Amino acid sequence: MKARSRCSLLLLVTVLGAAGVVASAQAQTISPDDSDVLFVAQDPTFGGVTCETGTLEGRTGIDEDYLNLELEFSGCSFGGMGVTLECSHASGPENEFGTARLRALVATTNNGEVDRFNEDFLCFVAVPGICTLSVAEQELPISGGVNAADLLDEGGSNADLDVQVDMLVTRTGSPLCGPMTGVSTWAGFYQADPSFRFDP
Amino acid sequence: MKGTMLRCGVLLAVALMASAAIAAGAQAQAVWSPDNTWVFGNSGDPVLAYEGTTVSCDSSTLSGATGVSSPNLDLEQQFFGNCAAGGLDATVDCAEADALRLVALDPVDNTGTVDLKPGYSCIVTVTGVCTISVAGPQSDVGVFVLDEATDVLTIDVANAAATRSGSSLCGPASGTAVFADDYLMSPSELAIVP
Repeated sequence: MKARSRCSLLLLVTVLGAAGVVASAQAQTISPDDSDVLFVAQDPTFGGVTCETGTLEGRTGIDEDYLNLELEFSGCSFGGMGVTLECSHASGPENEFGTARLRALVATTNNGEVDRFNEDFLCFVAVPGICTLSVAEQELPISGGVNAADLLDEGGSNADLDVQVDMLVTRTGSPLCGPMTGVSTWAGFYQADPSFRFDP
Repeated sequence: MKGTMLRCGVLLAVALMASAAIAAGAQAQAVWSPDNTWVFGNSGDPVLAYEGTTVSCDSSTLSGATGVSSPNLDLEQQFFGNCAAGGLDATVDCAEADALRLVALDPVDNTGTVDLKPGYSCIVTVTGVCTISVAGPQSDVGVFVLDEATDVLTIDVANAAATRSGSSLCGPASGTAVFADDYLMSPSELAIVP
């Protein structure tokens, strides 16, 4: 009888422990809930294109660990030549089409990632008379690639979303612009509103 | 006294002979042959490259004249026909100067080094994108070998300094240009001799 009691206790502890682990893995949420967010970066780069400014725009959900963001860039150049980098606009419920999905990973360290470019995502640049480059929907991170979207100085006046994402880029036209398919990086420090948080 | 003078004379003779031998050795350099002869070379599909940007043309020529017992053969290099870089139209304009110098070094292997003399200039223009320039003087930018059996002169320029203006799609602002090609030379008597 005593042995059965000890066994039940052990089972209970194990179940509770497992539940705790699961709860911990699911604990990250992006806050504030149900709010418009706008991040602005100076001098971001995207697939070899450098731009004067870049923005990320979206709307948070309720107790969600992800956020779909629309990308926009302006004042861009590629290889020293002025170009226009056009990215798809957000559409659908929770902006799930044409956007990049930011996911909070660890609330205690404010680590996150961009875990995919959603369906209908496309960023495209035409270098007149030379080539075109495009980044389309894809699962991230790519194999062996860097992928981080960490929230720095959360809640502070210098809060930044530090984006470093390797992605697949395709090229048409001249090989001066790079290989037909290759890996390039999206990088930028996107200034965040102090109210934007990765919460437990 | 006689013995001393004799020994001194022998020493002097040995020294003179040694000096003569050294002088003869120093003069046994490789030179181009025949003297004072116009030479011409033609190559199909030459390829130049600058830091990953490859430029190809339909043909290239070398022309110039040998000197008199000279190790140096100074040639004018030109590129002709359709040229392209990365699939884009390009031109390669080289100065009309006998400024590509082939310095003969080894009459056994028929090899030597390549210098770019003052006046050497080749400018690659990728239309609407960039220009890449190689200019002399630059010494020891590559090597060559002359196959006297086939009359093929193989030039391998591996470290010529070059600059780029315009778009960085063509490479960094300064870097290394390379060029390797086989030229069929005439006359067939062209040789490197001791």
